[in-house]
Amino acid sequence: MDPVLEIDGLTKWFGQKMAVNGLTLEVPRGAIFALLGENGAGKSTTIRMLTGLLQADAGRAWILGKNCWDDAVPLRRRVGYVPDRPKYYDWMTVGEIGWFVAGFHGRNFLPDYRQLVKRFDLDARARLGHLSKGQYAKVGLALALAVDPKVLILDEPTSGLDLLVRREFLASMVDMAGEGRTILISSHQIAEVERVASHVAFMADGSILLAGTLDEVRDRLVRLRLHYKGVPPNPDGLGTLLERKGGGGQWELVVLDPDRAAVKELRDAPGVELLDEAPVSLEEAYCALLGAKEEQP
Amino acid sequence: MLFHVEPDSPVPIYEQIVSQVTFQVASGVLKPDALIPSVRDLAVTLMVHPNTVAKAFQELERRGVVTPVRGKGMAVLGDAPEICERQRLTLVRDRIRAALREAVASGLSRDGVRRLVLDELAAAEPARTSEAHFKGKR
Repeated sequence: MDPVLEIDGLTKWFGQKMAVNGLTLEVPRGAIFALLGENGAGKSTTIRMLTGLLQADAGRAWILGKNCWDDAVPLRRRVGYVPDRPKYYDWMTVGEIGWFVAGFHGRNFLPDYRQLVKRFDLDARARLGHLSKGQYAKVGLALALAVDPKVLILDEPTSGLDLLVRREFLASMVDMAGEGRTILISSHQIAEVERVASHVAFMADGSILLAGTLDEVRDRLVRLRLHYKGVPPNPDGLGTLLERKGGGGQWELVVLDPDRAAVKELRDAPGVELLDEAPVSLEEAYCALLGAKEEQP
Repeated sequence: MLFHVEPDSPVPIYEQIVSQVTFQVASGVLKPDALIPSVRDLAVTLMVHPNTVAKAFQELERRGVVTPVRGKGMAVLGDAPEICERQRLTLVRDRIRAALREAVASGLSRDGVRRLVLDELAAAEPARTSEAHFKGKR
């Protein structure tokens, strides 16, 4: 099946700094694809290129088969976008902003928007400037959803929101994926996103460290706990060693793409008393990958 | 029927769903012919991606625990209790084995381990009844 969103070698420079470095990835239909990384990893810059707000210096991106830069205007009717800090006309009310934005869209926009305002428990008469952060974010989501988008792009949608509102957001994302919409979300709250995402890509310094379905990413990483007596065994050949903690008879290793045969061999090696394998959570995986990257010159 | 997932747990979420259905069938909470919730309903309740729930249901179907019923969702099969009881034994045995291995490797004596296991078993009993009470109240 064709990917809904396709990125090929996308690159962006800000002066001397390469903000996004040859990014390549595909997002299949119905996915909740999470771009994960610290602030400054290049997530927002990537999203702004996808939504036609920034022109890439190199590489291309397509959504629903249309070029994100050349076809940015027609794409706007099919792609919902909520920026990380939405800013609307604060003197308008919740109802007025819907009426205002409806002018750019089809006739279904306004009734859909009014329904969403109800569903999100918003007061149509409240002034935008008087809303809480969570309510403001909901207005952004309602405006994005009223387009009835096939694709939804959310930049840090839950940052700065209260726990309950965050949970509501996550639940509605699951609901939208269930309706067959495709969602791209950026976040630095990895544990929270791990729950709802179907695909993840870890980003750092504008590049992807690791990407795939949640299961693929988890399968590629393993935590090994090792107890040994005497001479320390040689961990080389187990796979890419991302992290090594401990000493004096006890080690904890995080290994990328472990060599199963080598792990088994180590388990039977003389002096090895215990070799346990445990899965790695996404957050641990990200920290280990980032740590290993920073160690390299 | 109560489902609960721990997203922070290193156990993949789909496996958590599979084992919960397995335990509920093994313990008789879910009986043959009972319907399990739809993929979408369960996804929204648990706040996990529908693919994750679908994957869990596929695994349960592969094991012969549930089968799709047209227009109704997934129903528990007649052979399911037997399959799930066996599965439950494997799951619990694996976890006990891992814990015991760790206990032995930590240098605890055999008697020490045995005492610990018996104490914890005794402690687990009242917790189970209070949980049953809680579930009954819901």
